[in-house]
Amino acid sequence: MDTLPKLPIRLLRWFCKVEYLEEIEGDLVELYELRAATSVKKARRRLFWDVICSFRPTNIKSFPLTNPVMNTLYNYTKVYFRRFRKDLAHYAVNTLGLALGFVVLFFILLYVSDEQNLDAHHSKSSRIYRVLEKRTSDEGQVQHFSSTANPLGPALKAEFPEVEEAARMIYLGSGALKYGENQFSDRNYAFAEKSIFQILDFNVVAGDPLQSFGGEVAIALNQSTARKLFGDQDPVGKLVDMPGKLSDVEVIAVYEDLPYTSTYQFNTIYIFRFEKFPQNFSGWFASWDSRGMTTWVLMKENTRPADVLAKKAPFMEKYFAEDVRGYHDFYFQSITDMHLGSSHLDHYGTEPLPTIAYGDRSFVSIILLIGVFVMVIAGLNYINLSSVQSLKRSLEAGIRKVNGANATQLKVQLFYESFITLLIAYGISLALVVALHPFFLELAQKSIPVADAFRMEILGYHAVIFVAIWVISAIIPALYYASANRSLVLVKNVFVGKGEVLRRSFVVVQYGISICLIVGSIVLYRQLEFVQSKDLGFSRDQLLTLDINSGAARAKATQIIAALKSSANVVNASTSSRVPGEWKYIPSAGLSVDRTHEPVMATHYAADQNWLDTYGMTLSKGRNFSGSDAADTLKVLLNEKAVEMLGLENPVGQTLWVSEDTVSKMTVIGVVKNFHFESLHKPLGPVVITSCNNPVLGIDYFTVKYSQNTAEVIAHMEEVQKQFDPETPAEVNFLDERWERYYKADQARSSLILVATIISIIISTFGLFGLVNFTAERKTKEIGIRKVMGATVAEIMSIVLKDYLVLLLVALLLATPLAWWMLERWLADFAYRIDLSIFTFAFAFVAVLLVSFVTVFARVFRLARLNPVVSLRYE
Amino acid sequence: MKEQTLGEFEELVLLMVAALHDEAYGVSILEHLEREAGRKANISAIHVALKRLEQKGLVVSRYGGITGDRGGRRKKFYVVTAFGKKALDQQYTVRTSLYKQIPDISFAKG
Repeated sequence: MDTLPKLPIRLLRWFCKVEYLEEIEGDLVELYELRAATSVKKARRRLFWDVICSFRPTNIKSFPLTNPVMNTLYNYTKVYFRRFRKDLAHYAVNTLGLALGFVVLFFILLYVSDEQNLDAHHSKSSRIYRVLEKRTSDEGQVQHFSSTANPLGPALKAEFPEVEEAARMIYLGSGALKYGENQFSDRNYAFAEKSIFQILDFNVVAGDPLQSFGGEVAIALNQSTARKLFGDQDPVGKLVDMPGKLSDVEVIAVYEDLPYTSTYQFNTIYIFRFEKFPQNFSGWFASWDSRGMTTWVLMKENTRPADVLAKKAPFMEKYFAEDVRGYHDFYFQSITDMHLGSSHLDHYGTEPLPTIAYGDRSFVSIILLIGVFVMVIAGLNYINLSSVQSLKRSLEAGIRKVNGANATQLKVQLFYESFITLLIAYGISLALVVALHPFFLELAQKSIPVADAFRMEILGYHAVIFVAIWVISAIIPALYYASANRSLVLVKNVFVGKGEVLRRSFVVVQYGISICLIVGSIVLYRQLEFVQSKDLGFSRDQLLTLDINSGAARAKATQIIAALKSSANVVNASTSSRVPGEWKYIPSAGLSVDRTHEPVMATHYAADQNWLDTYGMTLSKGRNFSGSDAADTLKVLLNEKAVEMLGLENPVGQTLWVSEDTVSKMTVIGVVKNFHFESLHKPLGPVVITSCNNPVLGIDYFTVKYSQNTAEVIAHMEEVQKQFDPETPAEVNFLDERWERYYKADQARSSLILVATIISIIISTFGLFGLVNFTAERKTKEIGIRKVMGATVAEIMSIVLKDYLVLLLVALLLATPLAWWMLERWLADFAYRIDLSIFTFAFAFVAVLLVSFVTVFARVFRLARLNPVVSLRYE
Repeated sequence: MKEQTLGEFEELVLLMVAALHDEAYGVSILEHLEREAGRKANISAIHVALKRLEQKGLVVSRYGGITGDRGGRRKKFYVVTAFGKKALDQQYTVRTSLYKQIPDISFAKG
């Protein structure tokens, strides 16, 4: 006979009600004995299981609180919730306000931490750098590019022992993938050297991207693209096409989709041996005066980019000819700085497209500041309201004292109660964070999984905020308790009136922040409105663009335009080198009247004779292109700005030297009214338009102006594309959508700020309501006396309102210069901006005034109307 | 008073208590349930059912004497009360009368 296992029985005895214990224990033991006859081991397991099953509410005994500490806390909790029920409005407002503040701050923390940690997931991220180039033109104009001289990567690796690995990548216009009949366009790709797989982190799930392969190119796909292309088939070893560019390329590896923290989330990587690059390209790839490749380097452990930069001079001399050296000054950017530290870069057009657009460091600071602001409002509110509440409770404190509580115990009670409130608020805020998460993602244009809101790092910040508010909110009333220690008697309102100055200054701070936020939101919206409604000099409605992705389409441009126009819904069609809103490098050309002066650098477009009509642009002088090759070559159109900068009196008929790669003498035939094809962050510059028949600049887009039936027009465009260029899938875009990309980031940012502002105002109103409530209670008797003496309702109202008006004025005085200064700085970034107006501030002031008056009014009006007999009997 | 309802399992346990007259306690009910009704249950489920039945006044309990079994722990025996018997009778009548109303036709294949 074996012995009964002790542990489960002890467990049972611990939780089970005494009156049930004998029966349950007896039955369990009997069963155990029965089962042990066959298998002891099994019987033990079953016994344990039975004990766990017996852990039911019916069986569990009540645990009396024998511990004095627990007992006290139990009492505090009970008293707390009793008061919660009694003073529901106050507690609900207080807790909810705090929870809202938490929610805003937590979301902002999540946003900021995501912005700052982009690309930090690479295991070697501290050693990965992107090489940037600084181009100083002969005219002294400075530009920064992430596109470098093409052979830079391998040379860096060869010359500098600090560089462990280098990789180059490049984007060469729109792309597509084709396997059998399955074909779709895919712009999210890069041509890259295989060493990129040694520098950046890729989780390869099939094949090996580092293997050697025949020919010059192979493909690595991410899992979603592989699934899209091949369905359930095994992708490795399959041959796919990149229509119009490559055919029969072998898939050699599949990697997991890159994480949402990647600036680049490539669907496809064409692994290239650039040294084997075909025909006409190879010269360009080897040229030191080229610009195209994005260069990555991996530094060895314990080396810094500065080590390389220190030895830069001989390197520059060795590789770059003297006349191009100034165009290719290079430096390093850590991969973790890429997202927030790239706003100074110019677009060149050969950079792979960042999946997550570059961010803006100053906005991250602004939004963080707003988060802190909102939390300060919520925190001050809470501190104000809880101190007011605890002061009201001097009677309870008195009774506790009479019963033997000492000052420390009273303070502990304050801390404990504050802790409960904070805990409830925190719980609510976490629930709200989870619930509002999709809304937040929509607003912030991000894709952060909800689990990330509870990363250790973020929870750490939560804890700090929690403890800070906890300590500060409890310490203020605790100090009053301490000072009134001896005289604490059974008087109801012994503390009333204490801390008035502090409370008032808190209200001033809250008002001030609210005014700042309101003014900020208004200015932001007015600026964006201004930018979007500004007359751009062209119409961007009902325009569709079709990309030209192959030589075939380029050669048949005239026929394609004729075919596009054949639909009844198409009003006009044209072709050009660039269209508005495209984030592609727009080439410049130098313009000069005689070749002795410095040329004026003008943005250069090539277009056909339909272009001006299609975009609704107008000529102020001269004539348009004729459409015949012979007549249009060596003719240019200028915009008004270019005419002004060249100082031309009679522009039409003027001959100009136009220098791009070559210098040619051309004649001005017309002047176009100024138009904005680029973001209004940039000032308007001079523009020169040459005919598309001119070989200097190739055409890249067709634009169609249509009248109705959008779907039909798109189908028609695809049909035309198929007819003339069956190889390449059609890429049709709405022009206004592309245009809005310039302001997408601005819009996301301003909506974030707007929402934060609205919430902060709600929180402030909560706080004000609580305070007014307190004032009203305190002044009940005073108001009664005033009424008896003959005061009217209006007079009583004005006494209370005057109080808050003064506070608001002080806040306005403090907030105005601060907000003014910050907004001036923000607006300075726009080339076309609104001016700050005093009315905006006046509006914010009136808004806050109205909200607070309504709040005060709602509470005090009732009191002022009250029969003085009732109010005098108060207390 | 609201009429008390019997759960399916509770009814089964009550029947078992009645059937095992004077010999009904946790383990015996468990064993008979398994043997006669083919019903596997955890002992704690039976305990809970017995407690509920007792609260509803359908059964009463008493402790047995101390024996060498079960490490000297007493058994708790359950007996059906008159009220419990009435509840069973009522349940039986309802079911038989309903059963008799089943028309004598062939049934659809389920």
